[in-house]
Parts: sequence; C-alpha cells; structure tokens
Amino acid sequence: MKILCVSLLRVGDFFQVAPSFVHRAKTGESIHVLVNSQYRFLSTMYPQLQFHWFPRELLQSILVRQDCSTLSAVQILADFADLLGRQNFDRIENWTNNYLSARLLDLFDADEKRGVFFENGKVSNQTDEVNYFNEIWTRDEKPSKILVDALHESLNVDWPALPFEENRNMNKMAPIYLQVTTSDDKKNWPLVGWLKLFQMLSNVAPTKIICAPFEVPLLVRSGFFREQDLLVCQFEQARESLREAKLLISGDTSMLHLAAETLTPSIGIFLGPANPYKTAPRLAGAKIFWGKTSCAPCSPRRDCERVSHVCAEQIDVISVYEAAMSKLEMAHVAKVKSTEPKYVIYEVIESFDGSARVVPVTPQTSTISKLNEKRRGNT
Amino acid sequence: MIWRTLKHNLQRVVIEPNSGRALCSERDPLREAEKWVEHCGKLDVFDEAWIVGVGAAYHIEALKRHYPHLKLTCMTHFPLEKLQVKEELGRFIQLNEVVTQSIFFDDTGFVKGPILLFRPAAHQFDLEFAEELRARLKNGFVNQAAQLGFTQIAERVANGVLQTAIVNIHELKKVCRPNTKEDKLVYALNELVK
Repeated sequence: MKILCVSLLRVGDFFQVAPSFVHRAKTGESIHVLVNSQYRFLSTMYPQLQFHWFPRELLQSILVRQDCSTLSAVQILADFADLLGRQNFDRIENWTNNYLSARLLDLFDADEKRGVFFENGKVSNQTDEVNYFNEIWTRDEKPSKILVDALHESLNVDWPALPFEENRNMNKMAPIYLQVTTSDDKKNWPLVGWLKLFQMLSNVAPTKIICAPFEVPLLVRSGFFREQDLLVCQFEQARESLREAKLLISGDTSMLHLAAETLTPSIGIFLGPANPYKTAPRLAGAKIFWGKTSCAPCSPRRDCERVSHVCAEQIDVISVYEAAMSKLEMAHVAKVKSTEPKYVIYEVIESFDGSARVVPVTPQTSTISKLNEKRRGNT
Repeated sequence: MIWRTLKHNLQRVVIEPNSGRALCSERDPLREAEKWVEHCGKLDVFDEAWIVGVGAAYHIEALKRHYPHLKLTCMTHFPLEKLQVKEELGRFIQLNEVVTQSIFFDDTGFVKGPILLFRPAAHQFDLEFAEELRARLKNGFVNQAAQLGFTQIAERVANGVLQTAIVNIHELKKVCRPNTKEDKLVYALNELVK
C-alpha cells in the first residue's frame, strides 16, 4: 500500500511521529512523507521513508514580496500538486491537522483520505475520532493521551508499542547531554541554572551541552560555557550521540523526541507553553518537571505577562540534579535540601491500551517508576 | 546595438569615457553593493535570480557572497567581455559561472521562474532594457493568468498598464469560481499568509 503522510509542522513534531512512520515502513507499507522543504536533512536520517518537499518558505516569500508575482506562487503549487498526483497514492493521511494541510488534501487525489481535509471547499471526514482530536483534545489542558497517540487514534492507525528507556548506567564513560535552549524564550530555563547543573553533573559523569551551530554564540559569548563544554552538531550526529548517552536533560525541544527515538533516558523541563500532557516524549520512564503556576501552560503566541518568569523559578537545580542522580542510580546526599516542591514531576507510563500516559509522581515516592522498572524487567 | 568601452578612473571606479558616468559609487562601491543586497530582502529560498544591469559587477559579487547557492543570470545590452572591469571581478564572474546574456527569454519564462532584481543607479541601457522587460512582463503575466484560469485578471491586465498586474492573494480569491482547481490552489496559499 502506498501512503502519503502529510507532516507540515516543525521538525520536533516530525521526530514525534517518525518512529511510527519507520515502524510502518518496516512492516511493508510504502510510506511517503510530505515535509517542509527546509528539513531536507531528514532524508538521510530516515532512508526507510520517501520524502516529498513542500516549498513552504518559497511560497510564503513569493506571496509577501512586492517584487514577486502572486501568480508564480499559484503556478508553483499547481506544478507541485501535479507532481504529487502522479504518484497515485492509495491513501493520504493528514498528520498535521491544520487548515493548510486540510486545504492541500483537497488538491491531492487518493482512493482514501484520513484525518481532516477539505472537499470542494468544505471540511470533510468529520468522524468521531477526528472531531475528538480537533475539538476536544486540542482544547483540553490535561488530555488522557499525548499528541502522538491522539493522532494515531484520530487517523485510525495502529501505533507501535510504547518503548522503554534503556539503562546505560553500566557504561561509565557514557556521557550526559544537556540541551539548554529551546525555540521559544518562554520555554527556556535560565542559563545560570543550566550552568550550575552542568557543573554538578560534570563531577559524576562526562557531561556536554548538546547544541546546534547557531546556538554557539549565545552559549559561549555570553560567558556561561566554554567551547570545550559543547557538542556542536546537526540532528543526524545528535541522534548518533544520543544512542550512546546515559541521560539527556532538555527543555521541550526536538532533541527530547529524538532521545525518545533512541531510547535515551530523559528528563524534560517544561516551561511556558510546554505541556507534558501533550508533548511529553513517547518513552516510558521519561521524567518531566513542570512548574506549578496558574498561568501554565501559557499561549505560545503571547509574551509572558508575569513580572518574572515564574514557572522557571519554581524548578530548582538541586531537584533536577536529584532526579538525574536517581536516573543514574547513584546515591546522592543533597547538601541543600529543597523545601516544599513548587513543581510537579511527571512520568511517562504505559497505559492499559498500550499508549503513553503522563502521570504526576512525587519526588519522594516514585511508585510509578517502580512499575515501569517491573514492566521493563518483564520485557 | 551599440558597444561602449569602459575604463577605470583614478579612483579605480569603472566609468564610461563618453559620458564620464560612473557605473557604481565613486566613493564606496562595496558599501553601495552591500546596501543593495540588503535592500533585495531575504533571497535564501530562491534558487535563481536574474539581474538587469551588470554595471561594475560589485553588486553581483556581493549577491554571490551573501547567497552562494543562487544561480545568477545577468542581463545586459552589452556582453560582459566588453566591460573592462577589474581583473579580479572578471575572474570572480568566471569562477562563479555568472551568465550574461542579451534578451532571448520568452514572455512566460520569467513570470514562472526566478526572482528579477534591478541594479541600483541604473545605466541608460538598463533603463531601456527595464522598459522592454516591463512590456514582456505584462505579456507574460497575461498569458500565465489565462493559463491558470484567472481570465478576468488576464483581460484587465491586457487592457491596462503593468501596474494592474499587481494582485494579491485576496484579489485572486475574489475572482475564483468555487470548487475549481484554481480556487483550491488559492485557498491553500491563503493559509500560508494568514
């Protein structure tokens, strides 16, 4: 069966669904993916998939520039639709669920279309599953399923079994990676916190800041880190490095989802608009810190309206360090005991139907972790 | 077509001997070229650009420096070899495979194709050339609009001046017949500029 999966969001969103695409490709389906053309590097990362590049930036550029003809954009999109049409897909699945992807599905022909799409100018395929995803899941702050599983359900596609973190603590030289910046300032934990954590973790294991080349000036010139503290790489190399890592600590970034793909033990620090109930990594055992504030999760489109970055202030370095120590199965006596926690730690566990479920755990009694441990032991 | 010989003045600026007119800034041609590239806006997404006017080629050099991936076609009334530009610029142009050509493209070609950039401080030839291009641009636009199904717009532009060809996506939405292919295309594009 020849299937086109339309995934036109950001690269982090693609990393969330990529394991499912690869899983299906391995089971014999011919999986084609429509992705924004700025992510061409994905084709070397996922040779099992056949990529088609949507010229989003080019079209947007033509549409907003005064020195370009709008007709050029129409022509380019028409040519692109013709080119895809010649592929004769059996099925097209909308993994993006926005107006753009729904409109694009109206341009492409296939025997079957799944997910929301327009048909002759009107929204079509409003099944219960699709309606639930678009009307309830997207508005619910604490949905029972994370994005990936909710998408699978709305598209009526089988999802691969929930993977478990690999225990890599036996390898003493395996590094710990910290991904310290995100694409949104509101999601960033302060660099001073990261620096402190980096220094503490460096005493117990080789620790590096994993970052993209464009992040180097911010990290080095700001004086927080030295060049030798960094592992500067693109996504492909990052994935290889994560395969060897014993732990990743990161904000809500694409790296966290890449770590889920490589089964790397992970701790997420979710701030601002990041919501663990929606975008937690699909990896049993992954832990997430979420600051307890009335405004969280905030809107990704608006600036923080608080006097200070309150959600970031709720999460202290000692607590994250202790969580890391627990993951590394190392005894640790904190010199400074944290007071009443102002954050909640969440853990990803396997639900009764095999999907990922995000549940709160207290730092002191991590019964869920034990359940995960037991489950991991059985598998 | 008239060929003109060009030479350097004392400040190493390329000038025309007949008119004495400089083909680039006499004080700071590099800065002038940089400012022009900045004025062109972001070009990363384009693969190809056509430039009207070669001048002293400083702006071509600057464009290539900022966007090495961009395939450049420079259009001029006189071939580049007639330009006695500085040697290093000549070498640069050869190395980067910058193409120079006279007018031979068809009307629809460049409406579909690359971004068209005009050199600042245009030479008289460039201005004449630009006029000629405008006429071709209009024909090209009319043909393409008709081909894509926007007949109303094609007629309007055919009977008017080039400025009537400046349409945005909202205007296209208004003239589309519902449920046609062009209607679907325009509504999909509309989502990109919301």
